[in-house]
Amino acid sequence: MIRRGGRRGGVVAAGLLTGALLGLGFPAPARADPEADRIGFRSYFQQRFPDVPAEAWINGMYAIDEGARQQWQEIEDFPPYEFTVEEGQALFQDPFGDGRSYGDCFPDAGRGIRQRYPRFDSETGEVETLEVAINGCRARHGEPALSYDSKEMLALTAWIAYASRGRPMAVEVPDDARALAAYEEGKRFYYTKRGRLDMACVDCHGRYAGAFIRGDHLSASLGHPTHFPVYRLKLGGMVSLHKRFHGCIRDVGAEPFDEQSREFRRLEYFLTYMSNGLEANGPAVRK
Amino acid sequence: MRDVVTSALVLAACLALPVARAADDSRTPAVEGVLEAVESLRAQAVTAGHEWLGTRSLLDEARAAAASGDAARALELAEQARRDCELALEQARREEEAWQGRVLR
Repeated sequence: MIRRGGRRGGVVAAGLLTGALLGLGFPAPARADPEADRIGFRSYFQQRFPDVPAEAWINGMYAIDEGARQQWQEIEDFPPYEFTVEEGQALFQDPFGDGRSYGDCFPDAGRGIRQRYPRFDSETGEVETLEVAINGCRARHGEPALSYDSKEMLALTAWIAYASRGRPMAVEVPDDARALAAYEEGKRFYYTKRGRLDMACVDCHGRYAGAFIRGDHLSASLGHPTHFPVYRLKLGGMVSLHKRFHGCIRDVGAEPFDEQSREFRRLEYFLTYMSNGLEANGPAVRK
Repeated sequence: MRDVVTSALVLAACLALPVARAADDSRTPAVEGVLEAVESLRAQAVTAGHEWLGTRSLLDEARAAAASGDAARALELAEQARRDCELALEQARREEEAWQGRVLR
């Protein structure tokens, strides 16, 4: 991508300068175009799976596995995340020590907000996920931060997801060089091979989506971020999107990044933008 | 990143000889020098965002072997860790541009 001279020389030079100024460690390859990326991403899955309507991808591998879908629909009759959602609602309404609550930080009493996360925070110049926003709210009201994989954090995000069901994902990448660089870094992460197995996210969840991995189908990346956190039957508990990132990175033999690390927040930013327009439907049940 | 990878490869080349020599040298300073050099290589893999799983534990085991006086075992483990780091850094260098060929469209 980095070329000398030619018509793109100016664009590449600007990318290099932007990268250097932001201290990213590597240059931005060119001006990012998230919407063109999203259209291409959607088009890829539509061509690979012409019989699967785009909106079905919010159900992960159940979009393509009829037998597993029927089992899952049975489970959804009495969803195992139900108590977690109720706990999250209670936590959301509980007053902090200063008498305020999460409702003072989030609009509409927390209903219908999930689809806008992650968002780019122009003040910090960083990607803000829902989990980071929750801890930011707590800090402003004198409360200690919650661990990202704590029961409380998972309950809060589960309830907010539940209270946002049906809203189309609507993540924005503003026309801000820092936001575009963050998006591009997330995109780069998704397509970069790493670890002993030399695999990228796109290998399993793009090129091999629908293929078997042991007894299960690999799910598609399209729709992944719409339904987290999820109740994992395998673990018997709630799991965040970043916990899944963490597990995937380990599985390919790379040292994983921390939950809510800059790397994972930017990966979530890219992935969620790719699912823009699909309905938020968290929390969900997964194997 | 390219500078990091280049310097890592130079360091790796420099390391190869001392590892071989140090195997015959049970003096702790020689082993310690090799371990420090491999740790430096690992740090470069971390900086590049490409550290492989298991490299840290290899180095931890190498340090433990050195501490117990088993220089040969320490150097054997350090050599495994060095190879991991080299491959991880080579992967990072290759991926600087290779990822763009995988973009879904």
